[in-house]
Amino acid sequence: MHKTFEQSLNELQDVMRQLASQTEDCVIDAIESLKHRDIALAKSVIERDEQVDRMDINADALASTILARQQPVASDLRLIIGAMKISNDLERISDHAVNIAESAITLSSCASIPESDNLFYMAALVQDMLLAATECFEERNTIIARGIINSDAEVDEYNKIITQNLIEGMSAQTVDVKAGMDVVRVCKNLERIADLSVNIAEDVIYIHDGKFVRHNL
Amino acid sequence: MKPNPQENATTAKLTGTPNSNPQSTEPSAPRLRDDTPVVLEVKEMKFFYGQSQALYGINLDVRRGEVVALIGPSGCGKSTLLKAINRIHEVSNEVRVEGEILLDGANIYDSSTDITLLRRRVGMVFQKPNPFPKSIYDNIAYGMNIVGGFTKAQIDETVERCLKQAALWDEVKDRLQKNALGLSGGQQQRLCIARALATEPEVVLMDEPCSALDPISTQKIENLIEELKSRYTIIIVTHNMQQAARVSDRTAFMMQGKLIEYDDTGVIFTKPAQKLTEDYITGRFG
Repeated sequence: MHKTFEQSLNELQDVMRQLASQTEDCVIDAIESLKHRDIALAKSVIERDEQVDRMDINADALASTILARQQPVASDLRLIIGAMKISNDLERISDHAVNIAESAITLSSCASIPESDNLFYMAALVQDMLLAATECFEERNTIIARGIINSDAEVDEYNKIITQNLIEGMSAQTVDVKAGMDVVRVCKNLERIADLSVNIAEDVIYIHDGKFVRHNL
Repeated sequence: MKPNPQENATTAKLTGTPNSNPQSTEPSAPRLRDDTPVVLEVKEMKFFYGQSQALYGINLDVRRGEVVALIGPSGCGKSTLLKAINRIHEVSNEVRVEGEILLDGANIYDSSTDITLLRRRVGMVFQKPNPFPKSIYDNIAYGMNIVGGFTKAQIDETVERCLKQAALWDEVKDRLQKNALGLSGGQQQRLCIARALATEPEVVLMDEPCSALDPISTQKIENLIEELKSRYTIIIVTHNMQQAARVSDRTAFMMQGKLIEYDDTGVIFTKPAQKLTEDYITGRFG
């Protein structure tokens, strides 16, 4: 392999590693800020999103340059295409972390967080899915990737149940409407992070096996 | 502790097996249907230069109207295979061939084969443009004049048709009697393609036709290949991987006289089945 090409690939993988790490931190801190009513931590998540945006653009620029100058094929081509899609997914995950952090700030003034047990269990599941997704990309591990795809159903179930419980609680006026709506928003953002983690897992399978497994086709 | 939001909540783990049955989607759909008739079939082809064996039991079929690219490192046998298809190597007595090459079902290595007719049916374009030191017109008309029996009108018609098919007519129609050696390298190569088309061949062989050309001339030849494949079957040897990916329908990867992998070009360049192919096209060896 051409030395310049190898260096470019390594550089792209380094950027992807940093992007993944930064995004993971944003999601973990967003959930922690919600759990511990830590407004400062929530604000730092919001501020750090710009760094993630810059890394995403950096990854795209590097990948575009490799495509234009090295014209990769086969597994190299799949890696570049996969990296471009995954960097976009990570950037969007960071946006959802920002949404959660914003809700954490709002919810910090509430007496309690409704459905907190289910919510934080769901958050832990989503966090595990994201960490597994970045790990399977790093290691090109399709076994983990397929496990992530399977895990999404449980997250969807929790989202449905929590939302239903909150609607019932708000209807019965046992749950504060403002707090309830914020928890619904957090749930929706967690569910989207899980979906994007599934996207990453599907892209890892494409990178490794050259198979498209999206949309259950 | 895990809360129990509902009795039958899903409990999938991160390391499970897929619950769906995703089917792989091929990287690209082939242009030709699988039932397109085979025009050329190489069967168990072995080729020897004296004591040295250059090809080891090659099997390869080419469908009518298809562009097939032969790729592989230098000395892998791709040019030998190409030359074997119109028996051009027989200028040397040192060569020996085993196996068959069937053109429309007839073995071209049968003793009854008319080699002159074979070379009219299987045209060849070489790496370096090699026009005759004659006029542009005479380069195309050369074969017809040798065979004889054609009227001036028939020859004129053929010259115009071939130059148009080779995308050269507009550039040379006002100077057909000028010497072909005055053309640019790219024009000379298109003239050689036009000359190869004059006999209305079924198969056109191209041995690195763009290796001596600049990018603009290369693009014109590649566009020409795209145009020609509706009427001719083309087999092209190229060292340029991107060119193979751009112009061909199927690609054959050869190494050390063996055919390692032969598949739709979209598959070869996105998901080759053989590690040797992957390593070669990604530049990890060769």
